[in-house]
Amino acid sequence: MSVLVLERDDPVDSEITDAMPGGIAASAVMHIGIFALIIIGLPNLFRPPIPEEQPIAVELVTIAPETRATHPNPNAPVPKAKPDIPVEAAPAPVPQPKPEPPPPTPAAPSSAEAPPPPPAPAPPQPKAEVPPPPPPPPPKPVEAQAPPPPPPKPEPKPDPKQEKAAFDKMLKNLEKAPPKQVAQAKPDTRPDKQDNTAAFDTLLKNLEKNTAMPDPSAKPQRQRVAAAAPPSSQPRAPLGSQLTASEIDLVREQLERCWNINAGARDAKDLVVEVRATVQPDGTVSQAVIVDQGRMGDPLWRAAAESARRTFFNPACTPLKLPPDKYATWKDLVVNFSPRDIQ
Amino acid sequence: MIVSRRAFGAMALLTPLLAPALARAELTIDLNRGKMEPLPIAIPAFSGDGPNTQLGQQITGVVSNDLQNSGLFQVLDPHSYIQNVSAGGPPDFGAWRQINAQALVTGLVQTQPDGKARVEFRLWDVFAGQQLAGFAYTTTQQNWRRIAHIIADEIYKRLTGEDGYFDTRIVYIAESGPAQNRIKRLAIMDQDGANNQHLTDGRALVLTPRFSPSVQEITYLSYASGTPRVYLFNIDTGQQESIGDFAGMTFAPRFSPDGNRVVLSKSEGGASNIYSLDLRTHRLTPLSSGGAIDTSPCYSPDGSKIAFNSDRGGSQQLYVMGGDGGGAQRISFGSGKYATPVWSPRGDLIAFTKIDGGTFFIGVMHPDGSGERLLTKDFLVEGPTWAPNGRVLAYFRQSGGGRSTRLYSIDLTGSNPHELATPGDASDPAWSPLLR
Repeated sequence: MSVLVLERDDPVDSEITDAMPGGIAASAVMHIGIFALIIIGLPNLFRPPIPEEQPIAVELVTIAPETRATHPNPNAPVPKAKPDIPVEAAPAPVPQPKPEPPPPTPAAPSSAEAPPPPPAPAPPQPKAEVPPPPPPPPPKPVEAQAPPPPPPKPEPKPDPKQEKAAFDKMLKNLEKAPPKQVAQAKPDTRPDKQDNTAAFDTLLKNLEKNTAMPDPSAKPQRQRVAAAAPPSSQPRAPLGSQLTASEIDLVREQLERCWNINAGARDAKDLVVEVRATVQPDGTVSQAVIVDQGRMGDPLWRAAAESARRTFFNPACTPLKLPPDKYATWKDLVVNFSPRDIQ
Repeated sequence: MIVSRRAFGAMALLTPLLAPALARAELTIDLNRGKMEPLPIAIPAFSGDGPNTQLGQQITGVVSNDLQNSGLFQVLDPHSYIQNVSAGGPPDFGAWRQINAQALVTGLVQTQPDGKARVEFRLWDVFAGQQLAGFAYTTTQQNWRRIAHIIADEIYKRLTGEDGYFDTRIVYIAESGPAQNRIKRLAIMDQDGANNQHLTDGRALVLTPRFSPSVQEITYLSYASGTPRVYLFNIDTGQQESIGDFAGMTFAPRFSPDGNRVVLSKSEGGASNIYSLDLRTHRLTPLSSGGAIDTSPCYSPDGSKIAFNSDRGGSQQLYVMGGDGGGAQRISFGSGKYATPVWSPRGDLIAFTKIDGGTFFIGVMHPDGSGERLLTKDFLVEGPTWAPNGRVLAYFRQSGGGRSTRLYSIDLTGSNPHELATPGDASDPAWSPLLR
């Protein structure tokens, strides 16, 4: 009995173990299967099939000589390498990239240092004839006039007629005239844009870049790049109506053509002027205000500021090239005239 | 109620934050490139009745010539003028804008009861439609040229912010005769070439005249006594005197900024050194010493420094030392030889002559030697002298062997080189200060 009991007892356990073995195993297998499916299979459902590994073609024959060629090799594979490149590359123009200007022909033949006037002794003559000097004219500035102020008409005239091309003449760029050093300097100073405006360094003439002087030769290149680099200008407006970089570049280039810089002025690079302009929908400027009125007492700064303000009324800048559909963005235009690159 | 109050509060809090963002709906552009172009200016003949009509035309002619020659202004062709301003009244700015004038000068010439001429002018900003300057001058009729120069100076000053240089004179060496027996005379003229006259008769060789910065006085080198000596010439009185009889030659004189001293070179054996000469006591103070050739001294505008050239380093180069001598620093390091440093009245540049590869150059550099720029070159270009505003240089030029020697001027940017008309050959120009 007790055995039975025991058996019974056992069967309870065993019943569990015995009665379930098929179901538990099946369940376990099912669960494992499902889990495996979920863990492994599901992600793969949404994953693109792994591309088959592409075979990498390796030509044993060619690899060997090439790898060897990278080492210093007395076998000199050079002639082989060279002919290959030109075939694929460009046809001809390499040999003379720099058309050299005519060699310098200083008209100084023999007596280069002769010119200083020879101190030839002259007949001693302590007293020289002295014609009466010109009478000192005494002009008297009488009074400053305060004339009847005529009705100011700030309304600008939109007559975009002719753009003056006379600028090229003004820019005495010595690069044309003189000899070799200039030819070297040219590619440096000729960057991306070809317009008739120029950074300040090019407004100042220099007959030749002096190689012995590090600053002048190094500076221009950097300055030109800086000047042509994308600006800090940013339209501050809702994203959808912002001006694009090219739209800003367009109007900047237009303004550059209208800004007349007194590059030879004292401390010209410090004459930074901010002008706030109100632009009409047709692109004409109705008002241009010099922001820093406090500096108008300095005649030099005032002249620079007034010259900056005139930029907006220059015929070449009337009207401004701005997209009409984004009027809200450029209705108020602030221009920082900053001749910082002057030497 | 509470909710709406909160919303209102939130809005009140946000509004100041939003306002700048809304107000900042503007386009900001940084410009750091531009052009250098003469300012278009219209200068119709000053009006006047009777003989004053011609005087008005003469004055405007001189004013126009001054401004045009500066290279910073483009005087518009009078035939293009639409409005006849001689009728009086305020300018019709629209009419001047139409011909692209950016500035306008109007004026009036009247004869006063005492026979003197009263000349008034006004400078107008055409774009802004407002007067920028207006002055009237009363003087004898003969002084009309100076009045014109003074008016040109006022216009220049108002539009560029820097002093003008038109009411000035240039002293120079007038040359004539064959090369073997060249006659050199001290001559003087207005900066535009008018009123040219000789100050010495040519019997003694004269060289390197320099203007005093304070009085109408010239210092120069003359062989009048047989050996080169530094002399003074008073333009007002015609007085001429040697400034001291020292052993050895004295040469390359130049005034100190206050006009009380002359700095010069004095030969000592094979060397030459720089001395300062007090014009009242005639006492010489040595500023340099040694066996080198130190010459062409020139004070800085504040008198604190002296630029000179010296071969102490082996080749002829530029140096800067203290105003009382000492502390000399070499500032030129380019190829070739450098000579005749001249400190700009503005103080920011030193002009020089450079000889390299058989060619002469006129250039400028900063007083520390940086920023060297060569402005012009030729077979011979030499003797730079600054206009009193430090904007323009005059020099003399010879284009080839045996050719004539002439005076030229050039803007310090290197633009606008042009000849200064002289009756004959000319060299060694020296620009006066403003005559006022």
